[in-house]
Amino acid sequence: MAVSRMALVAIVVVVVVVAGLATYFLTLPKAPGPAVTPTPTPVVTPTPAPGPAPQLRSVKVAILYDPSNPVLKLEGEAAKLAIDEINAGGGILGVKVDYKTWNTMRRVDVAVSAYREAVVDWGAQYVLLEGVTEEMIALMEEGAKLYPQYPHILMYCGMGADVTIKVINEYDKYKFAFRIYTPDYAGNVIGPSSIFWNVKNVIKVNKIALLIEAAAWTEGARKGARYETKHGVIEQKPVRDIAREAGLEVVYEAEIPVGEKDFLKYLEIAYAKGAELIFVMSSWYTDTTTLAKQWATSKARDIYLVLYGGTNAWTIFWDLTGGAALGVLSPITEFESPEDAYPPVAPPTPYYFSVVKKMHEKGLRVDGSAHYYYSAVYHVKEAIEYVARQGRDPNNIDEVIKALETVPCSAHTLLPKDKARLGLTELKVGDFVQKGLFHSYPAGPVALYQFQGRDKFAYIGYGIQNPYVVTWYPEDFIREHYVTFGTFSPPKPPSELRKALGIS
Amino acid sequence: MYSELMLTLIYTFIFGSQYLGIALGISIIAGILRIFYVAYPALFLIPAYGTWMFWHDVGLPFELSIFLSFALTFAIVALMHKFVTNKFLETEDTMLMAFFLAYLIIEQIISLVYPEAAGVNLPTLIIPWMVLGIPGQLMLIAIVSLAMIALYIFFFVKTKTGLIMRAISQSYLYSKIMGINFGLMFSMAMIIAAIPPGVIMLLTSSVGPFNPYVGWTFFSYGIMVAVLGGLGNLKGTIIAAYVLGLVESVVAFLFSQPRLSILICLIIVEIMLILRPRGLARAESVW
Repeated sequence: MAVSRMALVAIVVVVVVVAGLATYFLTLPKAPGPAVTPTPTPVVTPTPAPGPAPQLRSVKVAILYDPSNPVLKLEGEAAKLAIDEINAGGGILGVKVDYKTWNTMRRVDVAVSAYREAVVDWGAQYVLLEGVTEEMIALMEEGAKLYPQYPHILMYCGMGADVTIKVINEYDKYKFAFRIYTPDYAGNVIGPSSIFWNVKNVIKVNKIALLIEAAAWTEGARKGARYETKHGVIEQKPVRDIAREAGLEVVYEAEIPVGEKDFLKYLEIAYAKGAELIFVMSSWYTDTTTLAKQWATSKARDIYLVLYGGTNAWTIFWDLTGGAALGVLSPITEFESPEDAYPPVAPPTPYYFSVVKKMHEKGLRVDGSAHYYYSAVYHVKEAIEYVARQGRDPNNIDEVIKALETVPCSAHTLLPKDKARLGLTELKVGDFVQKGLFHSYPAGPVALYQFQGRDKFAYIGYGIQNPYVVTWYPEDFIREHYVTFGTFSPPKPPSELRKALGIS
Repeated sequence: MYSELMLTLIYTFIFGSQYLGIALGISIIAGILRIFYVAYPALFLIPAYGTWMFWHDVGLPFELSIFLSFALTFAIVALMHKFVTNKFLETEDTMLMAFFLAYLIIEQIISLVYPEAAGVNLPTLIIPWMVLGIPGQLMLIAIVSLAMIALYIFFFVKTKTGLIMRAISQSYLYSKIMGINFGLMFSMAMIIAAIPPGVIMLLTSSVGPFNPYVGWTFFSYGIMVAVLGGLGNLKGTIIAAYVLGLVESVVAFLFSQPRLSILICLIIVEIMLILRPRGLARAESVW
């Protein structure tokens, strides 16, 4: 029988493809953990399953971070601390938590390679990534391919709207991905909104300058953003509009390039434009230590300076700046005890101070992300235990995912228990409705402190009058800590603080 | 408009003088040794972190710590000269790599021992008040930079050693024929070139960036100035420093575009490099 050339080619192609696929599937390493569930996992219900509950076999946590960077190292160390604590307390359901670390060097290719190794070779069921958004997006794509064979959960504390939007819009593909932080479209509205409320009502100034770090996470804050999701449209206003709606006049706005070292030019212009307060939307990319030093010796030093993220979140910021931090307003995330703060403040959650103390004992500082990584480990523990309590299989990652969406983290060190949820779709804080939070935590108001001396921090404007505060904390919590929440202490002008300390 | 003009004028002087202080050492080494000294960023770090080490960790008086930190810097420079310059003077690519690695090693050691979280800071804020409406410390840095350049010019023009160094920078071959002790002159050049970055870093640390990675930032500014001026010529370095100071100030204050100021400076240097590869001075010798 004569076979045409085309038919011969087609036969060869089919044979090669079939042989290739067969070779691929036959040589795949055996997946650790539970077998793949081909059908969608049923929703977790509170009804206990009949019969004895399956035993938890193992808990393997892979920590992907960059330990060579002293700042980024903190996040991985915080997660390790939580694991050590859990193991010291008997583990999860009596099973010791194993962990292994990988150095991602904050590079996408290295992170993907480490991720594959962690999940495929080592059998990690839980992966904690500390890195940039680009790494997380790449890992989500890789994870989507791996998940059917190697069910696992990927957690990341960082920015990038896509991280959450992808999960919302393509749940089945990306359900394993969690942002253990606030999505930028919520965080970049709630945080500045609560600060602007304080600026207007507590600090009582009107003219402000906005210096915004020109990084990916501030894109929505600089230009505004709009996302269409299955949970509705999310609108993010530019931060200048948020300020104006708070009744403030924005007299100067500038973008600060990542890596900037000379802030004096921006400060001089802010001063020349008549700003009474400078709000710097900063993160670790901005050298806030240098910024504070330049502010303290410039003409702008009598203007209030409010910093967002960066080394200013550490109490040691005072030392880093050689005391130039005097008068700077900033969120601070590492008080060891309520007595450290002046006037005394109540803990945001009961666990906050203990983690800070333990990290300090290890010689490590604590930023907001360190809190989130530490808490994430406890959130996983609570989710696994919840699955087991329901009589379901705690080894089944689909079940744990559902549990993470359902169970609040009662041991979160920054978020109130009822807000430490990864399954919310929307939440109202102050005047703003946060939409599309799914697989992310909601954003809360920013607590501002003023550096008033070495180890002397004034807690300002976090009063019960602040709508962002009262809709964030449970009413009984506010009542219990009424002294704190009722305190309405305005910051002191920098010139007054300098005078009190005899600084010219 | 008047205030913008005044800001531009004042900051032209301030930025220009700072650039001068930063680039001074690069120009001296490039002018005399005819090498591209990529270990230069370490010269910003060693005096500053050395001072902290002797003062904070060893517990010595602050002034003595500064003195010892410079002694430490000179010792490291001398070692680099012995094991790198001497050895690889004829194979420049190897020398570049060796210097660069030496700098990276020093930077890594510093970041390991004194990470940012260690809270390193130096009490070198001498003038905390404003002078002519600008930070007094910046004015001090500018004046110190000018004083250093004046001293170096005096050294090169009025002393015998300076004359020898100028001769080397003019003609390596003829100076060799005249029997100049190259080893000694090169060591001296590297040591005197190590002083300005250390002084600038000590004074700047209280009002500017100070972390284990800042050496490279300063180095890049220094290179920008040295290249525009003509690598290895002090006259060119002076002109280039103030040209860049002017451009930076005009863009930042007159046009209110501080974010673009360094970019514009870099573009100007790039264009200059293409049009006049030997820089503004177009000179052969260090002075």
